[in-house]
Amino acid sequence: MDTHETLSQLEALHHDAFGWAVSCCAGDWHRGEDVLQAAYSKALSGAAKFSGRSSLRTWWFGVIRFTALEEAKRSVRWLAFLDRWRAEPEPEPQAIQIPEEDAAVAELTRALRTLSERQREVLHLTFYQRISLSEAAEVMQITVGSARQHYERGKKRLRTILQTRRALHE
Amino acid sequence: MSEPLSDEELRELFGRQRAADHEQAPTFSALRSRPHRSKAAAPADFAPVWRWALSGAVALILGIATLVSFHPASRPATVSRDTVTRELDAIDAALQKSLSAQNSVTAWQSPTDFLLNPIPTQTP
Repeated sequence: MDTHETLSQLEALHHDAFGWAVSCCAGDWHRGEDVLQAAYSKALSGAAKFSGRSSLRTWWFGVIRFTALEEAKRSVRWLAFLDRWRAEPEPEPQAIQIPEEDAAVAELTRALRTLSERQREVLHLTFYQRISLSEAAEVMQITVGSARQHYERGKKRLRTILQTRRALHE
Repeated sequence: MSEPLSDEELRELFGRQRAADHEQAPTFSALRSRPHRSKAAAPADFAPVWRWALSGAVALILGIATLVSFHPASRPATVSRDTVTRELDAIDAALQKSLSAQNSVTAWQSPTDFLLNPIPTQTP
């Protein structure tokens, strides 16, 4: 499959890929945009090439995840260095601009931020992207057993957080 | 305490999040054509580092300059007012002496003046 053919197929996955990129950046909309753009650059330059060993979605989500990890490592390294010198606290990551009427979605976004990275990833892939646990494990480059463990623990924790918040509002 | 959330409720919640994301997500072409921000953002992240380095270098240069300018070896020794007055008086005296030793300008004669013939004056 040549680069242009791959890109035209990636266009069909664009919205899902965007959601995944934002999730990989812990709900930070702007970083998600940057990560997805960097991933598109990789696909366009041929730095990331689809070999056909897995489904296109699995491969593409893996590329996005890897790009997000690269970006996170880079910013963490520099932020750690800069934090030694600057006194002011790091601003909170910009939240997704969700319409006010959908408070439940905002609540979910906040709750997801409290989960571990693996738990957040597996829940996003299974509930948001609606892909199987084995595919999610492939994207996350872990075993299915491990993915299941993260899934169960993450779901339990997410339920507890959402229920507690719901009870507080009632 | 409210009822525990079922898988179906969670799925519905994630579905709403997905719909909200889709509504606001930038289009594929917009994201591809926009200038690359993450690579450009990197120098912006580094900018404070360079600012720190630059400020440090300037402070260091200023420090060295201050140290050099205030160092006792680089400053001329302080001279008392009396010494200066005495020196000025001595210079003045030497000048006066030199002037008085010179001949008057009117008495001065060039060594070649004898070559000049007196101009004959015509009498009527």
